[in-house]
Amino acid sequence: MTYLKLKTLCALVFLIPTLLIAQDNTFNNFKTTKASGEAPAIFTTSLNDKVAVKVASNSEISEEYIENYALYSNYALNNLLESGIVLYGDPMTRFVQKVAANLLKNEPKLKEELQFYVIKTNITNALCTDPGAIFITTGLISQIENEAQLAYVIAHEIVHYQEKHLEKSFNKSKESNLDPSSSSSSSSYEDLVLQSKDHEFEADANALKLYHAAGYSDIEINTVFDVLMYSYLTFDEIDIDKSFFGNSKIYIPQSYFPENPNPILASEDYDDSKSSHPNIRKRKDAIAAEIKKYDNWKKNSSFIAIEEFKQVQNIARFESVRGDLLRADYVKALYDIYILENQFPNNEYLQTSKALAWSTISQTIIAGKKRTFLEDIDKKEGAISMLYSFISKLSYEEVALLAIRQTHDIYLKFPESKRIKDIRNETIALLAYLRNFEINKLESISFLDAVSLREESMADTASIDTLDIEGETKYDRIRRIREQQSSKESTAELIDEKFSTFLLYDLVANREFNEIYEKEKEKLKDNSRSSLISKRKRKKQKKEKNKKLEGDIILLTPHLEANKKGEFNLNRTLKFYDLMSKEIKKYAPKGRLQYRGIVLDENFTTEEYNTASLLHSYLIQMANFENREFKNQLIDYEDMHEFLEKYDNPQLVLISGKANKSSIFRNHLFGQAEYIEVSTGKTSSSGYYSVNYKIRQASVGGLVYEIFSKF
Amino acid sequence: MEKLHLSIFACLLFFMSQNIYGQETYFFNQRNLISLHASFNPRLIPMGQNDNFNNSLGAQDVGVGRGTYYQSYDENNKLVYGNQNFNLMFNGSYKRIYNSNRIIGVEFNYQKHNLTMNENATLGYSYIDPFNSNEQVAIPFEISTPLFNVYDIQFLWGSFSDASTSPNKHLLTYGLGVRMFSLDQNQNYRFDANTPYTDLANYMEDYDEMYIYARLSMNYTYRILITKNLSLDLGVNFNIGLYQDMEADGGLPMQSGYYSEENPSDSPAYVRYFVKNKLGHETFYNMIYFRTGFSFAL
Repeated sequence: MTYLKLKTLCALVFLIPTLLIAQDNTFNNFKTTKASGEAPAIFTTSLNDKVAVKVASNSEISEEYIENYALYSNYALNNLLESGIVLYGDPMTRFVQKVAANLLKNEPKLKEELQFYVIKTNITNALCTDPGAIFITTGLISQIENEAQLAYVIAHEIVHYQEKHLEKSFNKSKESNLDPSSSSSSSSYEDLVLQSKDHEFEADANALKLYHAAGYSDIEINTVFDVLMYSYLTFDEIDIDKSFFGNSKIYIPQSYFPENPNPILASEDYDDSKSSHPNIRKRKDAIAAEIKKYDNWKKNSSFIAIEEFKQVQNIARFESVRGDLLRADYVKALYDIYILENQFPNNEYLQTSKALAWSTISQTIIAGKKRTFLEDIDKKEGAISMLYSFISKLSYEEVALLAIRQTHDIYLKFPESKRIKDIRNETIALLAYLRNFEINKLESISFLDAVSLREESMADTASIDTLDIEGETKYDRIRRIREQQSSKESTAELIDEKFSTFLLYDLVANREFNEIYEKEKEKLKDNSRSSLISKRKRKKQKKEKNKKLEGDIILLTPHLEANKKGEFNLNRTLKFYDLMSKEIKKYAPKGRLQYRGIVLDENFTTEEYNTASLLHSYLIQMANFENREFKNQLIDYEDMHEFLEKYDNPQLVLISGKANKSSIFRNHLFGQAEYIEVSTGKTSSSGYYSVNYKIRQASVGGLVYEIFSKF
Repeated sequence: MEKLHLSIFACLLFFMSQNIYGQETYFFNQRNLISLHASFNPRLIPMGQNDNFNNSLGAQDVGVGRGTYYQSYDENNKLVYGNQNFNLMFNGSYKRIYNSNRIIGVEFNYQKHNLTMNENATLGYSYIDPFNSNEQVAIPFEISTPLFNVYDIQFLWGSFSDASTSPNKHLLTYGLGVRMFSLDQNQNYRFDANTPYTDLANYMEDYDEMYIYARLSMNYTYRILITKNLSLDLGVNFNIGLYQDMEADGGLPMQSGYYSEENPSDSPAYVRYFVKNKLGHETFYNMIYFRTGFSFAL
């Protein structure tokens, strides 16, 4: 084999796995990003080992407190890692690592110590943790404009690590605890905040050193602060126009929209006295002075191919849509999709998400839980405020009909997609839940067609001047015709308030549409009939309620917390976890416990981690989901279905427990478990367990016993 | 008694009807509680009366007749005196938990109790013979006082603290039931050092019949968990008898005319109405018992 062939082969071997995990450019089959490849050491090292490493290392913390510090900082890190939102080996993380490598090209020691990861969350942030793990959020990646801006943020976090800011803050807090002169807690808190601000200024300034050395342009720095300031807005700001509803035949009255969007109020010079970070104005001023200290600024805004940045940014933006849906922020999801539609017209993932958003909006509003996602509308800023205002103005019926219109249009675009069809059908079924709704009153003609028809018939029957008035817009015409109608006492008034009855013009005669509606209506009737039930039935229901749960047990990492006199106590918390895992072995039904959540030790596997991550997302959606059963609403639809096939009717078990010791004699330990049947989203919970005992075998065992007594 | 049965039955019915539907949580699903306790009752009020005898009636220093005094014959038929200052009671109970923290159960108690002699029956006391007013009758009250086996059967109901999962640390129960006194027939009952009672009918009227009283109790138990099933219990028991007449009639334990050496069996040394009232009177004061023992929860 020639050298050349060998080289090609090596390149291919390297390329194939990269291609397999990379998103394709069209994002049509977008799936949420998963961790891939070998797990980094921080995932496979147990807490005790991490603490031992820290204790043995050089640090600024006195020997007295080092163990305490190591324990707390690593526990916090482990909590983050166990949340399942941290990514590794994926395109975004690889990109961040490349940028970091560029920054650290002259700092081999730092490069070795630091690790970089991406966190899947819509919050715009970056954080540095003690063992040198730096995290960048997908929210930040979705907002920044180029590689240089990301580089500056990473450089900033690197300085936090370099200057050991966490350790310094810890020392300061210990000092103020010990210092008798600072008797009032508020003054020590203010000290801490001040110190934290000093750290931020220091990080901002020193970040320039790495940033400058790497050869990035100084112009981008100011923009980074703008990104941070406007990070509460969506990743782009575009006006909402008619194209939003994507169907030129439907008529949405302009009166449903406010005249202007709410103004964007973000200010650089906000009051930062209680914040750990100085305000943007101060940071901009400080950095402007620092920038001048360096000369020979280069003009680079990127070193890595721009396409790769764009790709990574798009992944982050698609993640943002997914994040919105997970957290039931449906309006924001619609707006994000609207922005992305420009770049990705007819993208199946986006359109499915859009259908899902409309369907869940309709469900939530009909369920009377509008407030869960339409709160503080006055406080929304920018173009998105139009959308919030619009949806909140719609009546139940209007929402239901508009949602059907939207999902049906999407279905027409993707008639092959079973999922979109299911979502559409569910949205149609929702009509049955509307009170005082008559399907007969739906018009089989679109509003605009009706207007032109009316116009024609008037021209025929009455001698009204229908000549086009010069410069008359469509809406002027509508208004004029309406005036004529009211004077003619027309039967079907073409007024704004009735726009929704014209929305489903093409569906009214559709057999499938009517069948779905009638079927759901029948189902409802049956349900309401059975509300008057006999004693025997009630007994049967009670029996059913106490029925044991069947299927595989999927245990997620329990959430346990132990306090001492109201303050979090880590040693007791760890004892709680320790006892819990021992008792679970004792009381969990044999052979049915199939999955035990993430455990950060040598047995950690990426596959299990991704499962946990998937289930965490599922739970977040569950927690925010306000409606009936979970069926087609699953966000990670395909991944969840794969999961369901792998196990036999999996039941998620989510344990939460808390212990508090308020004095030697007063102990309290309580907890509960939630059971979720993954296939249906049906939840039930264990009995509420609460005992006056300290954390001991019997008290923790009782909780575990109670939890598994349901199986 | 009929009324009592009725009220117990009514109570049972009431508490059973409280069982509503709902998910119930129990500590390790333990719903049955079996307890073995020992209770200790310092007889504080009678103890305070120990020295409170009536000198003017010629009583001697032994504190005859009041407080916790009793007398009996030992193996050598020698009259010995004693004070029963404490009661020691053994309790066994079964309790069932329902409705999260409610308790229903039954309790059995056993203790021994010496009847205190009539407070007027002081040693050397004499009185005028009702059949011959010229003669003083001296009563050398040397008859053994009766010893009783005391059995209680009580229905219990109550609740564990609702602040935490039951069974838990704090248990409050109420008991309603009967206390039965039965003469311990295996004692050395004697008229005096030389005269044993060969026939107990001469000693006590209807000696083989029980004395039955209604009794109400309130119990607080603090449970210290040893293992998940076993607990060490500390408790206080407050109980009162529901008696009507508690005044021993006539001041003497025997019927008039008892003192007939020729035919002592005609009139027993202790008549039923006297014993009944006396028992009622003195155990009325045995109100506070301190308990300890073990409970086993299943």
